[in-house]
Amino acid sequence: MERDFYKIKKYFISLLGERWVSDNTKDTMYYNRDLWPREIIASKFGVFKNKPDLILWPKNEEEIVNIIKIANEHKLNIIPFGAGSGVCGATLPLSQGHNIIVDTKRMNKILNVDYQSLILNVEAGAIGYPLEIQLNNKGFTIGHFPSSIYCSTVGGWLASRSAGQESSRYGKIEDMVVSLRVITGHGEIIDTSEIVSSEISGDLNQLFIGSEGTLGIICSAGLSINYLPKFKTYSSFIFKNIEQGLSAIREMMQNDVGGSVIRLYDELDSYIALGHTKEKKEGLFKKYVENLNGDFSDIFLKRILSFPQLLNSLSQLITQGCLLIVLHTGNESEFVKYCQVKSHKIAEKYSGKNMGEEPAKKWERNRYSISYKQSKIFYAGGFVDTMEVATTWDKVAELYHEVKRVIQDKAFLMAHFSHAYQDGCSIYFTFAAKANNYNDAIKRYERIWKNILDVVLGLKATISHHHGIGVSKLEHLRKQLGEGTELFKILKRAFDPNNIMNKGKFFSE
Amino acid sequence: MDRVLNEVFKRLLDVGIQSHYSATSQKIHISVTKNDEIEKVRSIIKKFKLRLSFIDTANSNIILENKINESKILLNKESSLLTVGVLYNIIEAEKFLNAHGFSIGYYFPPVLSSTEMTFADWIKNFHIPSLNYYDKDLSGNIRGIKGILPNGNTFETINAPRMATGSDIVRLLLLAGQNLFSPFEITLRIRPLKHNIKILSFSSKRIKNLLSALASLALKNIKIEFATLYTREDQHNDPMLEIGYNQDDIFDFMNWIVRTVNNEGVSLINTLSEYDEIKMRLNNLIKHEYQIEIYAKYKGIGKLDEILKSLFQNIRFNGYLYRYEKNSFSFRVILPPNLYQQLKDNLISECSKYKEDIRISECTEGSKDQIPLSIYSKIIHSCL
Repeated sequence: MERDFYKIKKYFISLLGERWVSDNTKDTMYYNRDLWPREIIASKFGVFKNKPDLILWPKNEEEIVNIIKIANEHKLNIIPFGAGSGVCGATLPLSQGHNIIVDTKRMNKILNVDYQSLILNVEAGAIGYPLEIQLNNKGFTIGHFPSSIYCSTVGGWLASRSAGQESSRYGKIEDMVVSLRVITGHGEIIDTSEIVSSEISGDLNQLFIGSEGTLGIICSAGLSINYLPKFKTYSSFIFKNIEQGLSAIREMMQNDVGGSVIRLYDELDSYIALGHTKEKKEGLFKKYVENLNGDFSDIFLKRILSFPQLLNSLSQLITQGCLLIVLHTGNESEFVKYCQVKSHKIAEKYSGKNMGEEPAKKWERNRYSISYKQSKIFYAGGFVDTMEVATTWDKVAELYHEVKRVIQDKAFLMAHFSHAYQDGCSIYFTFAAKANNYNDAIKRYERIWKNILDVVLGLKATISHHHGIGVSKLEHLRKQLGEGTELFKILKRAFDPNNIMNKGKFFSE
Repeated sequence: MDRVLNEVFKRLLDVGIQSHYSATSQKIHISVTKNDEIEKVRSIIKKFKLRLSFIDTANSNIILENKINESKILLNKESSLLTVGVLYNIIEAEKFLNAHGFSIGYYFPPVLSSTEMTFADWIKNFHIPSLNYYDKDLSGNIRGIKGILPNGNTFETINAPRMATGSDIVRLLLLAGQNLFSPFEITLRIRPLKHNIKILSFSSKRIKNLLSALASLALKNIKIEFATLYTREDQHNDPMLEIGYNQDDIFDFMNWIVRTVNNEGVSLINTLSEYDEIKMRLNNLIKHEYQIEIYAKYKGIGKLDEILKSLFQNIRFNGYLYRYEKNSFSFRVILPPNLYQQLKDNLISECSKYKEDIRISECTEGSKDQIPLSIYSKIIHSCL
């Protein structure tokens, strides 16, 4: 077995060059996980598993075709890797055989920008922020702003069906894709731009988008881009409760005036977002909740995390209301103003109190400040995680309250509603809890996830809006899909018949 | 096989399932109208390790006709969703929605013009032109789907605005068609009925100018209700672009559209058509037998214009915008039957010079023919 592996490594070195093939411990340690909090908990407790055997950095499609060929010959497990910012464990090596990480970051070139049709062709390994800046400099934007924009790639966005903060205007990543070039697990290159009918190519794109590296490696994509907006307005409102705020954003979306960014925070999340008010009154509590993402040095606060029910009860005392922020953008000042005025009328209809521009501007200043920084809670032996579910408008409030109810004695919980559509929206829950040792932490962490996802499925909502499935939601995806799991197997048989792509994910063996 | 099918047929009759067995063709045709009948069928075929077919092919032995939920129609006003049995007539559903202040949309004229069409028919031909790219085609509007798989199990998707739960299964089901699935219920995203739709008409000597005008609206994300573009060669008039927009009390959409349209060689003219006429016209144009579809990115407008000009110097032709999207469009040219083959070959040859931006496809019933055969057969083979 070891001799075989040595031979395989030699093959890859001859293919890519020694510099681009690694099995050294530093690299294999780095690539043994993504940002799935369960694995962060493990690493904080010194538990390291699932190390990949080799890391490869190919520079072009030809090298990927050859990697796939060798993987098929030797039954290897190929795990495509972008920047590792996933939070569900999609890149975790699970196979009993040889796990080979294929990092696409060397494939980061802009291949072409068609400024007349507004199509960007870019390689999958391009990191979001530099790419966006390059386009901005020419007067264009992709319109995709995930909070991970500094540490995520185009390929990662596509593989996980990512969403950006301005999804109300530009859509999710799947709405922006014009074409894809994919090398399937069979080694075949599929270029959907060669398909004449845009409807058909669109449908094929949608089979590969979200497949999390289980069908092939996305090498490049044609993305629809936009003129960089020249005008922007900021609005903020406080609503008495979640229900009134949700009614307002529903009506804004259904009247096409939802803006680029529309975010409603529950009472506790509003408390943090509004931070600058009531500082003296609720100082200790404020200090705690702000520390969810900040400096967690206070021993008292560390202890109190062990009593989530108490914390959740304390949060009920917050009567500040629910904050809604709306950013309207566009290239026609009158139209941007029109949308703002119309959205204000809707907010007022639901008794929203106008808070001016500052809360929305504050959000914008901090829009990317949390993603790649690890919460200090982990250093205190606690954990924090987020969960993004989605459902139709008639069930959003019920889903929110039901999740709060089942989780109140298990974790500290807050939420915001940040991706809204005409027919529904997503809820972004943040939960935090603490345990004394690794086994307790994992047990507690998994119980919280199970409890919440059971509620989500009970209400026939979806278990993921934009983080994907990875390992963390696989069991619940099976329940969500029911017979649909068979459909995933059909795709697997069609595009990866030898099961060499990201084994153990999406129901592959 | 004969003995097995005979036994299956007997058992189906025993449990009261309406079916017909032909020993000569070795086929059983089953018709089901209720959910519990599906369960009975499933348990019988499972016992004999058989699979259902939803279309009658050489390999199919048990062909199931699905008549479940024929009359189901359910409006979710709050979420702007319609759940409907697929055998429901689309015109009737539209009337039902209109009475409640909603519409399937202004963007599917052939669907809303055909009195006989059911949702099942629409699903079979799901790539029907849309007059408004914001609203996407059918697959982009289906929020939930429920039906039967070949193993007899029922399958239902979660109904959510967006998901990150792997490949888009609805697209797979639609691509694979009845090889994989027989739907009996869909949930569609619907739109509020707009009462103040106005139409702006632009004309130009050159199609190129009108396509550029359309591109300027699409590329700037201006939310118009619909756009249609067609030649009027037979009437000796210039080609025309018609834009539908919703007149608002506060914002002057008309002025915005007129300002945005790239007006080089384009004139605003008196509106000639009502929306119903536009629907009927598109519906009639689609039915022409001898037509070619030209798919182009907006960058290809100039080249397309040159190709059409050189090929049709002395030949009168009719053409129309089949669909448009944010970055591209497809334009269909109706050719004289006697010159169809020759002109088609010439078009293919000319367009191949610009294949990055312009492509040609034949207009055949059921767009699935356009999926590269290798990919399509892989999916279908994996279904079996």
